[in-house]
Amino acid sequence: MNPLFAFDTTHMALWAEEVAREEGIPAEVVPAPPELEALCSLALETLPDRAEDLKKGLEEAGVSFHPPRALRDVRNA
Amino acid sequence: MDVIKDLFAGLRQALKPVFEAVDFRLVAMLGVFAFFGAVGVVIGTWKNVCATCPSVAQIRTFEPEQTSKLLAHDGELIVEIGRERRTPVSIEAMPEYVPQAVVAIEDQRFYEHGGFDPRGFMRAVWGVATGRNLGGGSTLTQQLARNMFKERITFERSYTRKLKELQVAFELEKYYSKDQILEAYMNEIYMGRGYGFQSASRAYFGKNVTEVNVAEAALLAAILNRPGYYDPYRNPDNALSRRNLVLSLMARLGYISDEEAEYWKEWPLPEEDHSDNAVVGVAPYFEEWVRQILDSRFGDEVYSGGLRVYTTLDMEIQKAAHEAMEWGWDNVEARPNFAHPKYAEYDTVEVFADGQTPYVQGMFIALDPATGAVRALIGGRNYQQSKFDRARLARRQAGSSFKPFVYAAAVSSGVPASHIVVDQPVVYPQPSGEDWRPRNFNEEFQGPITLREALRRSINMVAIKLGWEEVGIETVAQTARQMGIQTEIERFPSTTIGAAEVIPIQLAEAYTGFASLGTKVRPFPIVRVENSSGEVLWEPQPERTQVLDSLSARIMVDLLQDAANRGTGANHRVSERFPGGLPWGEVPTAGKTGTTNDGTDTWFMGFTPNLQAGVWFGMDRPVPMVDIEEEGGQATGGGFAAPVFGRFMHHVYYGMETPDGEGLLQEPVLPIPDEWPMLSGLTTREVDAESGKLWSRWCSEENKYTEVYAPGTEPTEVCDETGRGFIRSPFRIR
Repeated sequence: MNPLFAFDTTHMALWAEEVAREEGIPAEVVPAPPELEALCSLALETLPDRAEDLKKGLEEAGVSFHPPRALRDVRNA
Repeated sequence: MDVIKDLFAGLRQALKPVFEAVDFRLVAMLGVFAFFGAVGVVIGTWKNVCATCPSVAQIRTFEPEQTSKLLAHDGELIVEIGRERRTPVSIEAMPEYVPQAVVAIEDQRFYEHGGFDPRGFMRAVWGVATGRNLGGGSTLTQQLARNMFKERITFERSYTRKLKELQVAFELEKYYSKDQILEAYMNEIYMGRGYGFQSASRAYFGKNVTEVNVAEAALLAAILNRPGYYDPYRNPDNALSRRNLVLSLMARLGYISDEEAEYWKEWPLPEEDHSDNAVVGVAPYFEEWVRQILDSRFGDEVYSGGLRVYTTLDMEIQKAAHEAMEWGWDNVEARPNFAHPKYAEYDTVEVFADGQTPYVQGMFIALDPATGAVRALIGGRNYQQSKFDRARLARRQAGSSFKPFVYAAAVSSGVPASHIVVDQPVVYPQPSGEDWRPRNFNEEFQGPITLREALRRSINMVAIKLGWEEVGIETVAQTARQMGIQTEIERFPSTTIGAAEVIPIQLAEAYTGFASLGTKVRPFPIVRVENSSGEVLWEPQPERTQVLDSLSARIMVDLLQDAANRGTGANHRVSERFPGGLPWGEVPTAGKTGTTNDGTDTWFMGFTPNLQAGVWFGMDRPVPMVDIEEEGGQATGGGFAAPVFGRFMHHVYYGMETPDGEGLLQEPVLPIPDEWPMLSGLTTREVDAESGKLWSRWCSEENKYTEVYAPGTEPTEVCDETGRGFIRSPFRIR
């Protein structure tokens, strides 16, 4: 399952999407499943092998986000 | 006897000179003249004092004033409006002890006299002479006469008034039966909280006069003499004493037994005041809007003519809006950096004289995008405290909720949604001589970006460049004007990102041009007005205007779907933070957020295929709602207004849940609609999101997406690797 980044606001989610584009990391804005406990309705889905790159990029850009979780993990939680 | 004879003889002798000097024929003639003169004076007075009394014809055609009734679109009563709140009820529909109670306390010989009761009159005169209160002496018929034509007869305390009353009373008795007079009296008389027994019964007991018991009937009869003095809430001792007197009199006249009288004397007085429910309805700002329209069209008839006004309001949708807005206001005030007094601190304030409240305000409007029928309207947080209708009268900056007009101007000019505009810093000189350096919300710049993406992310620079440099501000202003924005639209660069002030209902009207795929409809509140006989007096027709070609409008809906569901408006969907939001999938939505400087105004204007809604939050004095220096985040349309839209739509399409989530307080109101149709004239192309050109296998697979085009606006160039180099170098000024 692909990891999902959750955010507290929509603007953070959209900003994270911009960062992913700038970094050339495949990422897509998707509805945040309620199990994700995201405060914002949007989440950012990326590929498993790029999650670490995206996390690093978001940290450098100053985007506030919740640690990425794979949907399967979420469902098992 | 002799003594008496002598006395008379002496008297005759003494008066003899007088008798001899007087001509008795002259005396007789004078006597006759005096008699007829006196009769003439009496008749003249009788006629003259009543020169202004109503004619027989007026008496025979008299109809008591009736409230007009505002009805929801399904016929449910919303509220009554009128100078005198009155709903006539037939005497036959009332339990017989109701009129009996009135007769017992007010006019016991009502069925015997002809409009005037000499015994009652003499009793009243004797009371005045001896300084005792023995009643007014007016019969029910006289009281009715006084009430029916109070402008003409007046309530002055004078003999002429009594004469006027009498004359009208006699006329009434001549043309009406006793029951008709009593019924008119019971529907006409002032009862403190409305006119007539029905209004009073609703106000005091919360039920119809046809349903009252003996004690309640006696209380109504007790109140009518002096409604204030015998008010059961303000003066319960007076009311109880008078009510029990009525019950005793009813027993004495044989209307009820002594046992019944004693039983009902134990019945408690009403404790809950129901009158407010009838005065202020569920949608006070909507009702006031309707009243103003009716007043300008029908004048006085609104308040006395018993009109039946079928409105567009949907009570269930109004309740859904009310719940969502209450939640929304709480949500705003719950922000840790909310910078103003809270609503709860002003519980005891009756009214803010200037209409401005120190606490956060808001407005909500929902309408049918196909017709413009207003289904719900909330003009503020508390109508009693502030009657200023923010939905219809407030002028506030639209912020980014104005941007769709910029994009609509572009799209209808043939600019495709895949058109690329470079998001980069710009500087515009202002008339003041200073430079204007607009920023994006997150102070970043994206470089080249499609219109679709720019609207989804609400990027300021793209809207400014598109509106000011590419389409032209005049075209933008004309588009907004044509779509329904009637306030002044200044021709400045900042207009393109919503610096112009708009009136919320006009903004909603303008969005109907998108929601109904090109045809704007004027929001309207009234379906039909009937008179009390059911005759249709007015049936306003919806105003529709073609403002966009349907293909351009459909493309705009597509863009706004992205903005609402993948962009700044996504908080209208359910999430951990907003669990009451609209579930993902099923109900298609489109819309746009708006936020002005530092969160002074926050908007969401959105719609589904069968319902449109607009939400605004802000302070009456336009200042930011939150202190952005403090922790708690910015005030945004996405964080404040969009969740209310989602919560409202959730109620409408899935029902309103009980607080424990176990059941439904309110069933779903509307069926879940199908997606907007993809119009046959539109075409689609696979496009490269970074260049706006046709996608080819030489371009990145990640950037491939499908765009919708009006015929002739499709891109013709194919993207290639060379186009991607500069795309990957966004500007950044953080």
